[in-house]
Amino acid sequence: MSKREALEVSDSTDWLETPLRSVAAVDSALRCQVCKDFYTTPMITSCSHTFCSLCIRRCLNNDGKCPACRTVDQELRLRFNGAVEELVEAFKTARPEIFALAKKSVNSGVTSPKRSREDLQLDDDEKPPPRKRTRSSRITRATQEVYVVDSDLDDGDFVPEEGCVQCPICNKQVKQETINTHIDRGCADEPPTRRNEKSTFPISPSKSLQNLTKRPERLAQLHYSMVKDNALRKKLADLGLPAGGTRQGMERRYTEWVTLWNANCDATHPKGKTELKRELDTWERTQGSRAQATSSLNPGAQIRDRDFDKAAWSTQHDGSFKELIANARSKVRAKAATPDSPSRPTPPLEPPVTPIRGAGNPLKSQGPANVSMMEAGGEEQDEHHPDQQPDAVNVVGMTPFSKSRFFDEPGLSNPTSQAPTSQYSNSIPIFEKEKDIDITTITNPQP
Amino acid sequence: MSFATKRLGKELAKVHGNLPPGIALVTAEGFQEWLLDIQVLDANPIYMGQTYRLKFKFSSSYPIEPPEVTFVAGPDRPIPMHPHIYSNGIICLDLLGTQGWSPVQNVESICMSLQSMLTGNTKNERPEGDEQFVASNRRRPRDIDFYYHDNTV
Repeated sequence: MSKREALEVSDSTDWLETPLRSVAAVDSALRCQVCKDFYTTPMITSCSHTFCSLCIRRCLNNDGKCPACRTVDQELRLRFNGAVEELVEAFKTARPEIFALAKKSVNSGVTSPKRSREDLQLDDDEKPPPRKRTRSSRITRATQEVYVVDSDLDDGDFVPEEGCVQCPICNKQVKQETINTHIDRGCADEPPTRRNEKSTFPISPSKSLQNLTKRPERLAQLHYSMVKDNALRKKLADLGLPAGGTRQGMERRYTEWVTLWNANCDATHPKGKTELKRELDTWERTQGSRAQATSSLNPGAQIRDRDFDKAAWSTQHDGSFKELIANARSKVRAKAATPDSPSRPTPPLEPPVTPIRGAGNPLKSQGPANVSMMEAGGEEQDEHHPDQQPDAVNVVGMTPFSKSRFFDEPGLSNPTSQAPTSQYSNSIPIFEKEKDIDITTITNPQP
Repeated sequence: MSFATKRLGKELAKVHGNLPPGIALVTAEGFQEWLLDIQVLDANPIYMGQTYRLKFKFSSSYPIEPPEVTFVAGPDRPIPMHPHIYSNGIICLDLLGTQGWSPVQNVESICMSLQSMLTGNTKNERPEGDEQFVASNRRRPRDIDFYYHDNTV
């Protein structure tokens, strides 16, 4: 971890201040163009561009196009680029040494050939161990592969000829006995792993060791328009993820989880689920703070912001909400006390009506306060009004839960969390517009 | 630390080191808003001797999402005259919209694109309907649906 932290600030331009300026190009070629860092689990697209697995998956989820050439591509078609990973790992190990050497020659002014020779010698002396290690490990891997081929047992990658047929749809080599199920599943059953470790393989001991660390299965993205709120919540809960928040929040969380998970499946050394969950948590926290970060100068714009953070809003205005609830409660109590009085007397304990700060709508003092409050909190909640109304009458008994009842519950269950004030067509929920790039292109107005 | 912060940290290190001629960093406090100055280097009479200030606003999804880039006016920092730049600084450029954006773009490449967009311009005018747009627009640039019709820029 500390090593990665140190690499974080490194950049290809570091080399420009050293005599080894040409290394800058090597350094830059080993970096992902999206995150500008060295490739982590490099994947190659069908247009032959390489990115980190996580980066390209995020990009494809966002707009379905290769970031480098804007060609349409799919996550399923990504393939692991092992040669690049090996290059990156080797360069990452060698980089500090080469860099130190290059810096040293700058500091010592004109380098005496003997000195630099010594350095090089030293460097060579130091280098072989790691290099040897990688080579030997590769050799062991190769011998394993030889075992596999010799034993001619069915391992997806290594027996392309015997017992295999070409799938007429995707042109992949598929085992004859599985070709029918392969086609039935729309050619999607084989995840693009370079090593298939699912097959049980009792012969070689190293192989059975690998079986212990079984590769996780990839997850599929959902068609959110076909998944109901409850089903989505259940899916999240089944995965052991937080199942709260708005519909939009749940969708984004699920998408990010699938992205993280699948990128992890590509990795040579996959991380544990707990670590992935921690990453998802970090992601959620860094993404969720967006609404708070924007200035509250233009509250109208803030609410219509598609990233509007309801949780932050409700904590920020907690005081006002509590006051309003107290207000409503006292009114109900007053009404119950004098049911027949034509003009409602103001009870002495009623606090002054405060407008919700920033919401733009000063509350009317008439009517149940929770109604106006919910209107201010977000239009999408009005579906819940009728259910909430009877509660308002019995409101006296529910003191500790009132806040969560009013704010968390309604927010959970509405697909259209976009206020209709946006310039986009009112009938199309915003997330559809973002996901379905094709739809937007079609609906673009002609001149 | 979000991926946006990480990536912007790298870009900042690069920006501090060396920027192409005519582009200068003014402030980069935090990873939410940066200011840069750009100049048009050739002898285009519309922009000669002028410096323009750009404001970059980054969301936490950068570089998956494009940054919000606008020209900001200030003392001796006018808004450049261009048929695709509104007088409130909003720029109509497909590169900055969700359709044209690609995560391989960066602050430097955006500045260079804007430089060349200005260099290639010969019309000393504002977009059609500028006054009306500036008076009525309350939206943020990324919520505006531009129709990118002009491929000559």
